Amino acid sequence: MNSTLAPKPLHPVLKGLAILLLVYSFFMGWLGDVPRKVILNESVRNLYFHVPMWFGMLLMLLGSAVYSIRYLLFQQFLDDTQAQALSLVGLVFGFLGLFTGMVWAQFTWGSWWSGDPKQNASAVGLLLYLAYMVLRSSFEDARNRARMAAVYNVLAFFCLIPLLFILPRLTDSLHPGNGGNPGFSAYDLDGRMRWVFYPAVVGWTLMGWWLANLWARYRTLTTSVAPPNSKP
Amino acid sequence: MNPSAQIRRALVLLGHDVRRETRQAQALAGSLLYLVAGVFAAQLLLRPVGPAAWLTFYWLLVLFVSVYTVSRSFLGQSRGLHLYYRVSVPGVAWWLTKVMTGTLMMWVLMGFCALLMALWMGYPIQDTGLFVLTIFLGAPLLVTVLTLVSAMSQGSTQPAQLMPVLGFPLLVPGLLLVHRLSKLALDGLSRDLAWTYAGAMVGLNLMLLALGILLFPFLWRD
Repeated sequence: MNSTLAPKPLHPVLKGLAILLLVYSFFMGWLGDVPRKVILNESVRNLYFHVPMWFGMLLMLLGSAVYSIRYLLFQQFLDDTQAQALSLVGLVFGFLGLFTGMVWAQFTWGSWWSGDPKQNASAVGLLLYLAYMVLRSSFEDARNRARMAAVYNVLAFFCLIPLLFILPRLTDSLHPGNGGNPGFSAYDLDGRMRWVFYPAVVGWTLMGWWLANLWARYRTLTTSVAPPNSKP
Repeated sequence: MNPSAQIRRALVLLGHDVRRETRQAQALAGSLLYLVAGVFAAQLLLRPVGPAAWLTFYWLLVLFVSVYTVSRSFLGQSRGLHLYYRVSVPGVAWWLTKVMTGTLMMWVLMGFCALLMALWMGYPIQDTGLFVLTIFLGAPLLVTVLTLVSAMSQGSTQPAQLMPVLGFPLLVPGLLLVHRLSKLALDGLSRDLAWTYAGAMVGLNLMLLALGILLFPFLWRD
């Protein structure tokens, strides 16, 4: 299936696009015009940094789950490495999302941690994927490790979905769009912010994909335990 | 194999597994003793105990005893018996059997835990019917996740440590629902909201059961 030794490098156009979009979103994020809002004030700019982290994390973890399913179907070590790479980048995005969210919460809700359903859900989500790393490290046999990690990864992704999308809707949340709070679009009267927000989401996702690709390539080239293309 | 044969096979295995559990009665007795010791220690420490603390302690103890009980049904098995099952039983049938046996055991243990706590720490639940429903729907939630996790950690270098590390985060969605539903039973208010939570629990159970049917065969083959 894969005839090369390591995953193919990301296409240069995508790399260029990632850099371009991120430079644009940072520039517009710090200097662009934003709506003046009570309480939020200038912190509304965090929308361009905090929210794309969650989009990025979910997409990385989705990709990771897809590679794990592929591993279960075809037993190619390359798929396992890709799954690990994507979940690592997903974890990094998750930690950055939690951190930027906590800073934002301190300035708008008044405390670093308010036990908001989405805060709790994302903390548990991070625990899920940290546990994935612990699971990987506790197998000596590479095939066993890859198989168990793939099963766990699929299970973890399916447990993350009710956690992030269903449970927060059953309780009140401080986040926009929950518990009677106005949705995101209410802060965005003239649609100006969308012109920065969506490019930022695409840019961060591409950057995450690039990072995962680099990590997977590095990993494949440096490990001798898991030769690509070997069938069990 | 067609699904009905698969289910029939699982039922035969269920009888077999239940008989095995009752023959090795010291194992279930171990879980029961775990609860006695846990509740006794708690009633010494938590005195007087408020209703919210009662409920929290109930679920914490149930969580710990479920990890202990389910992991024992896998990790405590002798190597020979385990190999015998691997060769002779398809993964899906084994999965359904383990979930059914585990659920039966957890129903017994959860009921026993509630009785013990009622004896030593009082009984604050106002809507017992709803509480029974929570136990009925909650047991398979714990068992499905923990069965998959114990099957996963079996070949690892430290299976006993992996169980809680992998299991607790995976159990959080289920535990949140279980706690919400039993909080309603505790307060004995209108049951309207309860159906939303009960429906979510049924959905989560079905999702986990289906995931197990898809994933367990991969854990089973070697």
